[in-house]
This record gives sequence, C-alpha cells and structure tokens, in this order.
Amino acid sequence: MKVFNPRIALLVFCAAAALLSGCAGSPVAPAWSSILVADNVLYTGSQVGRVYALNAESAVSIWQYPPASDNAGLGALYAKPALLDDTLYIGSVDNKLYALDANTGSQRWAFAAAGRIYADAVISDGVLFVGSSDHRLYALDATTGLKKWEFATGNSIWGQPAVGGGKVYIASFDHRIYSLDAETGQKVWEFEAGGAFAGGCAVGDDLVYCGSFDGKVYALDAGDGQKRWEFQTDHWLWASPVVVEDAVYVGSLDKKLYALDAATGVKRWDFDAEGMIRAAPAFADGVLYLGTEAGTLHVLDAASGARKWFFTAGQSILTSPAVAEGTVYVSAVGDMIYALDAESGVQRWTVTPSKR
Amino acid sequence: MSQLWNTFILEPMINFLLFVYSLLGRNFGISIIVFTVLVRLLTLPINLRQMRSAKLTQEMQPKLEELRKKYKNDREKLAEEQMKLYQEHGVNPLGCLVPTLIQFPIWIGLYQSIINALPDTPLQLLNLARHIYLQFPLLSSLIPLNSRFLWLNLNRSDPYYVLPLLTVATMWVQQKMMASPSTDPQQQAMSQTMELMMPMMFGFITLQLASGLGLYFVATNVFGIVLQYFVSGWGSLATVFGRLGGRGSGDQAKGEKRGRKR
Repeated sequence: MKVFNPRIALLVFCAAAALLSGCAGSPVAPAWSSILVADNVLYTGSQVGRVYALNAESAVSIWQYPPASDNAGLGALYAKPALLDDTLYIGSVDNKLYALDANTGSQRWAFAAAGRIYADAVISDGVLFVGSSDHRLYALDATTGLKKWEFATGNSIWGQPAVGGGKVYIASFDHRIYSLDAETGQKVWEFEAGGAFAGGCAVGDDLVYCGSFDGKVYALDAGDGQKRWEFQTDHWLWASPVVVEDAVYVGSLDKKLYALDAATGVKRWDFDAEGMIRAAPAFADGVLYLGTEAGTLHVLDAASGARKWFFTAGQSILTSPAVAEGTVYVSAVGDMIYALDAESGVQRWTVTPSKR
Repeated sequence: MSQLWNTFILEPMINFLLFVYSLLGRNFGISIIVFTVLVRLLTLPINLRQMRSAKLTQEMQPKLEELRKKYKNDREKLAEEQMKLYQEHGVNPLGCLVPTLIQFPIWIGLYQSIINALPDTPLQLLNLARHIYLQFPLLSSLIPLNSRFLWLNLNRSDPYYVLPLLTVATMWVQQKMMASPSTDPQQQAMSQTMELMMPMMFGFITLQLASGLGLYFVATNVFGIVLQYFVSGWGSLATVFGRLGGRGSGDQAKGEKRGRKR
C-alpha cells in the first residue's frame, strides 16, 4: 500500500471539484430584472444583458436591445428602466447607463461609470440621477448624457435616489444617508446609521425615509437630517419604503411588510408574507402588490393589511411589480414575466423574453 | 440535508469568519488566513493521526515489497499476508481515507463560508442574509466587508496570476512531501501524474474563482506543509532538493530521518 494513493486522491479531487463548482454557489439565479410599464408597453432588462420592449396587452415583442442579430448582450440588467418622453434609461453591470429610443430600441447615448450600476435611475427636471458601485452618485443631462456633477460616498450605491424640494437624497453602503443640492451636488447634510443601505429612500412631507441593514427604518427631517423617529424590524431592510399619504409601507427580510404612521413611526399593521421581502410593494387604488423571495405575490388592502388574493410564481419575486390598466405585471428571477388581472389575480399571459 | 449542512457547518463558519474579521481590524485577507489556520488547528488531531498512520505505512514499504515479490503469483495469499503485516504494526490500511473523508466537509464548509461572506452581486448578498446570525447585530453592521487585501479584490480573481501560481506550488510541495517512493513503475508513474495534475487543477480553479478562495488554498497548503514537515520531514521532496543540488538521494534519507526522529 502506498501512502499517497492516487485512486483515493482522484476520488477526493473529483468530489472536491464537484462541490467547489456546484454546491457552494447561491441557490438563487444570478440576476433579477425589473419592469416598467408605460403607454401599454412593458420594458424590462434581463440576466442575459438585453433590454426588451413588449406589448403589455399581448406580450408581443416590439424590440430588443442589443438587437437579436447582435450575439453579445450587455452586462446583466438589474435596474428598473426609467422613461422620459421617448427615451428609456437603464443601468447595467457593464458599468454603463444606456439611453435608448423607447420606440425603436436604438441607442441614443451611453454613460460609462467606473463601477457596476445596479441602481434604478431617477429623472427630475431633465436631470437623471443614478448611483453606482464606484461609490458615486451621478447627475446627467437626460438629453445628452453629459455629466453635470458627481458626488462620492464611502461605498457602493445600489438604491435609487429620492428627489424632492430641490434636494437629492441618496443612501450608501457606507452606512450613511446624504442630502445633496440637486443643482450643484453640494452636500447639505449626512446621517450615519448602524448598518449599510442597499435600497433607496423615499420622500414624504418634510421627511425622508430609508431602511438599513441594521433593521431600522429611519425617518429624517428633510431640512437638517435630524432623526424624527426610527422603527426596528427583525432583519435587514433592503426594500425602499413607499410613502402613500400619511402611511409608510416597508418590507423587511424578516418576511413582514409593515405599515407605519408616516409622522410618528407607530405601527398600524404588519403582514407576514412568509418569504423575504427584497423590493418595495407597488401601490395602486388602495391596494399593495408585494413580491417575496418565496415566489409569492401578495395583494393586500393598504388600509387594513388584509390579503385580497395571492399568486405563486415558479421563482423568487425580488423586484417591485408594476400596475397599469387593471393589470399587475410581475418579474420573477429567471426573467419570467407574469401579467395578472389586478382585481382577481387571473393570469393573462406569461413570457420569458430572453428565451424566445 | 441542505438545511442540516447550513445549520451545523456553513452558518457557524460564516459567522465565525465574520467575528474574526471584526477582531482583526476588518481585514478580510488576514481573516481568511487566521480563520483557515484556526479551523486547521481544530482538525489537527485527525490530521496528525492520518499522517502518523501514513508514516507507519511508509515504513512498512520494504516488507510489503518483499511480500509482493514472494507471493506475486498468489493474490489471495498476498492479501492475507499483507493484512497480517498491517495488524502486526497496528495499521489500518484505510487509515488515510477515513480522516480525509471526515475533514472533507470542513474543507468544503470553509470554502463555502469564504465565498458566501464575500458577495459580489445582489443575489449573493441576499444569500448571505439567509445565513447571518441576527442575534449578533455586530455581524450585520460589518456589511459590506472590505474585500481589498494587498493587490487583490478578494471577490474577484487575481489579475496578476500570483495566487494561482502559489496554489500550484504549495500544493505540489505538499503532495511531494506526502508521497512515498514505489518500486512499482506503474504506480510510480500514476503517482507522479497525480502529483502534477492535482495542483494544476486547483491552480486552474483559483484562476477562475474569487481570489479569497485562492488565499484559502495557499493558507491551508502552507499549514499542511508545516504540519507534514514536523511529522515526516521533507519526504520525497528531499529527492527533488537533492537532484537540484546534485547530491543524489542522500538528502532524501536525511529528510526521512528527520521525520523518524519525531
């Protein structure tokens, strides 16, 4: 018998190779895609790095970018597209923000950041604001793509900015929320929390709301950044808060959606979604549409938190649904899109644009 | 099964790794090295048992060779006599395999914990959220981890290929130290192929995956080399040194003698 037995070594090596390559990765797919519905057109990015425009009623393809004739896609597209007039904007993990003709899908311009863009872009008064993993928030001219200013934080920005009252509010992985002058990018104030911020902020009446990985929802005075109240949940907060009139709705990775009083932070109700909530719920006509990592879409009465109906997709729902013309659109991991009747939950169509 | 694995292997390792990171000035590279050494120290008794068993088997080689020659036409008798010899020396012929199999989940857990603690995409970060211990708020406050170490971004591959080369070199050295010479040319050839193939394959894996993993490979190999040296000396590596120094196999004897002294 030899001390170094090649057969045993080979067996161990094969097992190691199998485990190293297959078992250690995340059980979830490599990207999620967000959707935007406007003027009966559904726009979505994809894991394969293509942007798709579909007829929202029939799911018929209108265009894709890059075109099908181009074999190479962009980097994976996590971000939600933004629309201004007939221009569609979307950030990619290839570090670029693309501006496309919303009617044809042809590229108008592209802006290159120094890091991946996971964040949704926000447009206000002709200026596009987008954060990047290069730690910076960029303000771009939405027409030309030229940079107006940039602001460096201490770490990655994955959440979308909130814009209101001439200010831009951005939360960063550096545990801080920043208030910036929307015109110049000059810092007005900053607030340090006990955890990182992966999601975006929301602006209400004089207050800015953000959720952190320390499990807290922070409500800050929009003028001076002073904390007005905080609300503790049992896990990280990644979803951006949603402000509707005098209520703030925020989902947590503790699997609950919380409805809080916007002025005081007092809990009105919570809903156990039985799955981590990564993205903000969509709100339309007094109803909340909430996706979970467990793959369920919960449809709730916003006033009481009572569930009206639910739908189970085949994969995790990690982005916000979109609601338009009596239809709710849901994107599940794996680029599968569902169109459901917003009132009854009856499925109208389903499509995976990247697999057509 | 997956839940059991996560609860008893993966999650304790991830969270302990984060704890080490918090103690070591938030340097993830040093944390990987220290964490690897700590885990290897925990499995030291198994390691030592395996190595001693291997060393005894190595010392039995001349007698085993004699038996092979004596009973080359009678495989049944050969097996019977070999078993007797093992029993006389108190050696289990599978003594090398069992400790390896016991340690295997720990190696895989180590690897997985490093990969999980260094999320590079939002989905990987979401996966980390599933495994982090929320009862210790300190751990959540560490996110995002600082993935810079020397020239490396630990959740990306090494752009200068230094770690893959180090992985190949350290693994080859370790293999050489563990290997024993054989008079059977077929076995000798197979051994030599494996001694080269394994490091090359792990080098290739290091080339492709996050450099944090490469750092773990190098750290665990260096630990293995030091341990092997104290148990059995330089082993077959002494032959290589001898060849390089033009001094023949005398150095190998010295290396092995060093091992026997212990």
